[in-house]
Amino acid sequence: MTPNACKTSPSHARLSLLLSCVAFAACTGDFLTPATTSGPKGNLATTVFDQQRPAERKVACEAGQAPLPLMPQLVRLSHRQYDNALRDLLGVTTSPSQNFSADPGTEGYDNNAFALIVSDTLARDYRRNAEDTAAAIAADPNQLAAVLGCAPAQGDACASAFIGRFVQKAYRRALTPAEASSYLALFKSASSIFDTGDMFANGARLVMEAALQSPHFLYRPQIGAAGSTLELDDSQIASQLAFMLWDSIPDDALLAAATAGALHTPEQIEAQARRMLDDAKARPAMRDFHDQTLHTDKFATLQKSGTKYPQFTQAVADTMKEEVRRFSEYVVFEAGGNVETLFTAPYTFVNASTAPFYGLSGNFPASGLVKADLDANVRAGLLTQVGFLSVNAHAADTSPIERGVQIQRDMLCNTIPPPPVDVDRTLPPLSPDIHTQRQRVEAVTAAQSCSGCHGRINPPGFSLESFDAVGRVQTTDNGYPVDTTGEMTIDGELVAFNNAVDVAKAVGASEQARRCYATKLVRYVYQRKESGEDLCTIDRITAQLESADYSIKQALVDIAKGKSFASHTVAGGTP
Amino acid sequence: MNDRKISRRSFLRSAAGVTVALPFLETFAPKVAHAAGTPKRLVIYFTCNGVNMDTFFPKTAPGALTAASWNGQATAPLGKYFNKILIPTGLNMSPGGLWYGSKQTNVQGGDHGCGIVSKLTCAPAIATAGSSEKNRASGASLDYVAAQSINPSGRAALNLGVCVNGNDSMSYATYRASGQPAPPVNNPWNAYRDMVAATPAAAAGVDRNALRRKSVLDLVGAEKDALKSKGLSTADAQRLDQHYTAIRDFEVTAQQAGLVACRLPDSGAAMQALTNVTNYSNFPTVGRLQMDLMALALACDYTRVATIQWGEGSRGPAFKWDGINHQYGHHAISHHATNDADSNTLDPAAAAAMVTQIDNWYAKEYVALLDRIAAYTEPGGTMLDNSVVMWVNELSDGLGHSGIELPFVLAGSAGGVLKTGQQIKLTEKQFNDGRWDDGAPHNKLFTTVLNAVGVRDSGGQPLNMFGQNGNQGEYTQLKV
Repeated sequence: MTPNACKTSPSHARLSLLLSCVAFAACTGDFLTPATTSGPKGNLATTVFDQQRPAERKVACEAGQAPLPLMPQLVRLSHRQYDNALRDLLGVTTSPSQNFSADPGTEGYDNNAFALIVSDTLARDYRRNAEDTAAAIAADPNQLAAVLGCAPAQGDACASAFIGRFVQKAYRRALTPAEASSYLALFKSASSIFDTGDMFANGARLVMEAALQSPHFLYRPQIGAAGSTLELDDSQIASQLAFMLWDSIPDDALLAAATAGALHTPEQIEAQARRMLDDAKARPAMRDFHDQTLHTDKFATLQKSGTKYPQFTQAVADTMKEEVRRFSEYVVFEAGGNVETLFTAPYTFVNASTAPFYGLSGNFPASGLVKADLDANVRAGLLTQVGFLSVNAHAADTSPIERGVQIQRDMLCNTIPPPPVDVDRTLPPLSPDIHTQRQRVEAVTAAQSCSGCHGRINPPGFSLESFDAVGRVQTTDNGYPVDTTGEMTIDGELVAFNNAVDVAKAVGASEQARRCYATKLVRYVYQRKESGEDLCTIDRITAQLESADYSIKQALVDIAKGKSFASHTVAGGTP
Repeated sequence: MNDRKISRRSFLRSAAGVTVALPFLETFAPKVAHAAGTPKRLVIYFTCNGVNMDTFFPKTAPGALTAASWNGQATAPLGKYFNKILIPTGLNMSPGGLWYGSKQTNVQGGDHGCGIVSKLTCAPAIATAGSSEKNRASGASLDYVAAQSINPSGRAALNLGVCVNGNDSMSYATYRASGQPAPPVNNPWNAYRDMVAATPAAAAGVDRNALRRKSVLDLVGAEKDALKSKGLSTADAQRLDQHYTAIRDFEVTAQQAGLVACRLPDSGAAMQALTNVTNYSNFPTVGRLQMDLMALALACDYTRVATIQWGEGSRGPAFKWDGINHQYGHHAISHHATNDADSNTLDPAAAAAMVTQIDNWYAKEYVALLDRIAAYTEPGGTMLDNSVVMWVNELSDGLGHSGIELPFVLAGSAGGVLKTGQQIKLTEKQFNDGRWDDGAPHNKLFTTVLNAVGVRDSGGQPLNMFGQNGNQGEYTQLKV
């Protein structure tokens, strides 16, 4: 459902009776002025704290007196964490979770710790994949040898060594003697369970099948009394770091640091975080953050008018999606960029299929993407990428409304409620008085009742009218010059602009955009709705990101060093 | 709408496309599902995005239905089963009615979220802990409630999906309990394998699969218990129990002699061969394979409660098959976007005709499901006679996101309990919670249906009220 026109036209006889009952949510920057919704249950102090503005909570933050956020005692692995764990444990690269029921989305992300329950369906998905994976590896001598790491001829010694190494890695901690002996007993029970095959391979199969279904693998146990403060121990910190920065299990170096008790001071955590961010495994995790933040899933079903834009194929849409991913990855990991870079960078990544949409000529590869410099007077960062412009447009026309809504919601974290459903969404036809898409939108949203939201939505949307429904530059619309001027409120100030680049620069330089990005980043990597001490971390990062020397990569290190990274309040209550 | 007579032959042709090697009905029917004892079943056929209210309901006035009652309507295929069908009208959503003024605010997905969250649960939406965004139901859906009572060994309801690809409030119709969505299985091959593993053939000697599963679960089950004993909160203990209870079905019972075996004639080869299961281009194929599986699972008593959910609210495929060729997806069409040349110029008449086409397609598939279920002979008639197969939509009018005049279709009398062959107008005074809505709350229909298929509360009594919103009691006028 996209916000749209405001002319009321009851489509159902009874609707008109109820218009007075429609509760329109306020169209405000209430991201900065939190609404009076309840915070985590039963914690009044947190609820009050979460309502405060940054200036009001500054003292408590600096005194280390902010309440700690709640976390459940068991955090299930997200599907990406599960896939990457199987990759790092067993060399499985098929992303088995693509056959699982999807993780639930909450507050914009699908890894919320409270939402990650195991349904009946998922329990069977886990079992099926544990059985299939274990059977396939046990049946392949090469794979089995790699996983075992010792010679079956050594008998129990090899079995114990395999269990010690493999199960420990799956559990992300040293095994207790009781656990090790339970697994060895299971290993050795193979001959009473199987009637065919090599019994050593069968034993390894049983161990893999069990470990992949163990609660110690599928969940991160962080157990303590409900309401108490839990300080993560070194091995829990190893997991927290790995799942945050790699979406996977810790590697040997991280586990060794934890075992040595050298993974709890801010310096120790920072050193590991820096090492991990330089590892290739850090990139998929951030790619997923940007995928969800920028809704790249929409490219899969993006349709354009075949008559008006015959060049726009699914392959083009797929390339546009990869462009968003490659660009954000480059900004974070190669350019050392920050939020402003994301909104103002005068370059992007193209191939032969998408270069023409930028008006670029020259030799570009048919596949893969190469960096291309753009005219800095025309394009700037994410907002003027052909992908953003295409996704937020109709099949044959631009949609200033969709573009404006996405800027307000996703980039500035302003609350824009959905439009009332009982309005006539039809833009007026072109006429002697109405020449352009901008004028059609202005006409349909002219009513006083529309201005609360559309006063915010329309201006940034209009600034992008210099780009058509597939992101190409257009100077005219229906033969009339496009009008990209206007004014919008950013950081509480009215900002006048002439074009899209002005808007991109104003957004990119704003505290609001920095806070919005920092909030989402914390929400994603901490796997919860930000609360209490998390807000202090967000405040600090928001302030620091103003400096050109402070990068998103540095922000990730600082999030890992945050107080609420390694400590939280244990949640009780119902799921 | 001249295709009222959808012949079995034509169905087999369409189903025997690329992937269906063995037409289901030819190889299975007629068969006796149960030689003795006739369990009752509950089947939910769930579709989304509303219907064309002008062409969905019977043309005839309330009273006895005839084969011609739906003539000229999208639902004309229902005529084939007119005397097995019950159409209750006048039902309003509870909670909600018309959405406006309801207490459901800040629900993820707005009306679509409310519609799917509350439709099968009759419970309002709640937020995930720590969040203010309401995105899940605060109660169990009727299929889970039913399964707990009438399924052999309490096995959870079979919950099948057709391209249910999303992961938000609009993706989940079924709930195990408050706050616990039960996502459907999109891949029929996965669901089939689960069934096969849990139902070994009779007298097959040692079931080594079950032995292995038991050994593995003994270990991880002990780990689970040890974790719980460390003082887990109720919520976290529930999470673990829910997880590990779901895979305790290694305690399988061998097929009873004389019962239909839980095996497809092609051993599931058509399902296994399917790729891109969640791609909308496979929507009809996946749906038909899921219905093959569903009918078999009911006949072999793997489950007595099953749900098939076609797509999602606010999304859904562009219908490009079986003579339909829509440019836009179901949701866009429900909001009158039909025209590729200019998506801003909406065409209500053309859109309504397209929604009618979609409703007609779903009606044909619903009848095809009834064909599959009725193909099994049981004492007292067919398996259909001992079932209730209920078609439920997320909304009524899709354009207005309406929750009044809900489009329900029921087939099967639950062994002679329900008054089939009738269209019955339900009326009800104000809801118990005192709001303005004067429609008949749909929770009472579910109470009636649950009791009809033999659901009982923990005290062994018929339910007094299903769900949290609506009214108590049954619609006795729907019963014989």
